[in-house]
Amino acid sequence: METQKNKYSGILISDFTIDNLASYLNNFAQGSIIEAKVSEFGQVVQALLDERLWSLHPDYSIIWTFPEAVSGSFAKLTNYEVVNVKEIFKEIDLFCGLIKNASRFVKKAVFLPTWVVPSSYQWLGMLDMKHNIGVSNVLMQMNLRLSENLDKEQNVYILNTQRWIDAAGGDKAFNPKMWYLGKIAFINEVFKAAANDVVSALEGISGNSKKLIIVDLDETLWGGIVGDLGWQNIVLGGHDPVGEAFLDFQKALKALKNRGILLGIVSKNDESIAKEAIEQNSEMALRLNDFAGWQINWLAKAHNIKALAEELNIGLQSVVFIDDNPVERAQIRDLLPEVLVPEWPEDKLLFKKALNELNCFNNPVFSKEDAMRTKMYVQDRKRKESKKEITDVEQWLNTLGTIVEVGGISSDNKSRIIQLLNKTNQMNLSTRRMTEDELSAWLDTGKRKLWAFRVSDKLGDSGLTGIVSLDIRDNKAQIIDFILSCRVMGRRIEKSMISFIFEYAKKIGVVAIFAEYIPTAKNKPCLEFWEDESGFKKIKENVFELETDKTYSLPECIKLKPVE
Amino acid sequence: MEKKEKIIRILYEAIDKTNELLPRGQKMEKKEDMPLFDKGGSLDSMGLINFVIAVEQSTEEVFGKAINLTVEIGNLKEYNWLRTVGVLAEYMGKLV
Repeated sequence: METQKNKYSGILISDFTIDNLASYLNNFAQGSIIEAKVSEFGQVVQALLDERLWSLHPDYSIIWTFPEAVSGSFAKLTNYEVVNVKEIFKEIDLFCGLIKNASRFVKKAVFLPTWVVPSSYQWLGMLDMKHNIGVSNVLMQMNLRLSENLDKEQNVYILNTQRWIDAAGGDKAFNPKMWYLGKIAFINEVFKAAANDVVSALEGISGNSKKLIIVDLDETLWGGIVGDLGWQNIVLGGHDPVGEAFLDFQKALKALKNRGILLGIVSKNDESIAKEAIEQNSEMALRLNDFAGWQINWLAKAHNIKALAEELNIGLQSVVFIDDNPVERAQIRDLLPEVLVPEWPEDKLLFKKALNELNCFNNPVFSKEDAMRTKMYVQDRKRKESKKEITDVEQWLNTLGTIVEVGGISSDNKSRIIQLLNKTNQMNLSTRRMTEDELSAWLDTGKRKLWAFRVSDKLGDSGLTGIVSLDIRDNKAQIIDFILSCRVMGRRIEKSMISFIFEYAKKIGVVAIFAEYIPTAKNKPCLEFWEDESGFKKIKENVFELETDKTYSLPECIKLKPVE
Repeated sequence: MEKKEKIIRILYEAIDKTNELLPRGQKMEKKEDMPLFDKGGSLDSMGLINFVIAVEQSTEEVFGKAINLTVEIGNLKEYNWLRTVGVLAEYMGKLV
């Protein structure tokens, strides 16, 4: 099935020629369609104040300036004139005010690359980092000021220009010929790296970043074939460059896990031997509890990747597969084209570098739920194991002691609510993608309510995993958002959410609740729920109704706790 | 490898790099009679700068000698060496 491409339109504003960045974005070959328009050359302030420009409501904007263009005082500093840093900060604050104003019109993100030392700068030697005097020192403070000033803006992101300059070879990033011929500030490798980061960020903001890394074991997580060598003799850690490289690769994977990216194993091995190596080898950085799941057997890897993704409720388009074997990689690319299968270096010493270069795990927020994600999946695995022992589902659900806490939107949970709105695909009634400002504006209009649901049970806390919003008109209410993380689907949380809003609606005099299902390529499980389990009556195609003169019971296995 | 062959390879690599920046449908072809900054060419002034800089960078890497083609950009109204890939290759042959 061909997936629909995302389309992002943007405005690029700069005081140097930024057309090459626009060209890389416009020609971006993978996944999404990117449109980039360049505002008039060198007219940064005018562009930021241009209401006609912002009335286009772009999806994104890149505002890339020279520090001396924003701060005249900094320009003086680069000429070694005496300058008060407070004056520079005042100028930055003014600039940030313009950014904040413009950001209100941008749907997804405003990107501000950090300021870098101008290429023409004559180095001040050992005084370069002298506090409040050296250009590099003041520039660092300027970037911090910029970051602090814009920290509260939900859709403004500061990107690290130095990263792109380093990728382009440091000093080589500036070519005086490009500057004098076309006022192009950097060589094209810098713009190419910037385009990659911008697209990766846009994909992340839109909930399209990768969620699961599936790795092979032999010659990928460690050196050698564990089935032949035994777990004591695999190449890992120790005073050996290859062993150290494997260990560092594992540590890099673990760091991604700590950021909320799930890890999985698909390996042709004897499961008990492989698991013994993971648990027994003292050099392993990754243990079984670091993996959300695994398929270790002798079946084809395509079959196992599919099975693991299904088990973890992750779409194949969110999966990255890492394998040292080029034949396996080619086969997965062929059979599961949605899966990202990066080319992988033969040289083991380059594994960590190759992983770090995958620019597909970019998320706009980092929530408590992200940090706990793998733990939640491990708990879920235990839940499923306990389910296998009990044949009756209701009996099993009763043993879990599930508690659903429900409360309104607050400053504490807002970013997680936005994350759920923008990332959840399967149990999502309308698949509205919204920024924090858009949601606030929506809630401020008419009589609208939104509740967030937290789920926990005796095996652990699944965190904030559900959202329902209602639009109430006269004595009728429409469910606009009905969202539940796939992690807790099928545990009667859905019905407890309906039970809560049913009671609320009844209390305020609503006679009927409606829900309209908006189909997408991914939310069929939601339709199945509304058709088969919700208790609502289908009154026309994709529209469901529940009258409140009846009763709607909270599932017996759930304890519902309203919180302030 | 013959000098001319090396130069043509440099020019074709520069075409690849420049094509990454050109709109779809305006990509340059890798052939010796491909117009550069001439009638029928797809390079605007920005494209020409990108192309020439790419050629200069690769030439220095391949031949270990810096050449200055950017001076040609200033002479575009007169007869110049930036008309086609083949003409430029001939000119570069004299410089390296």
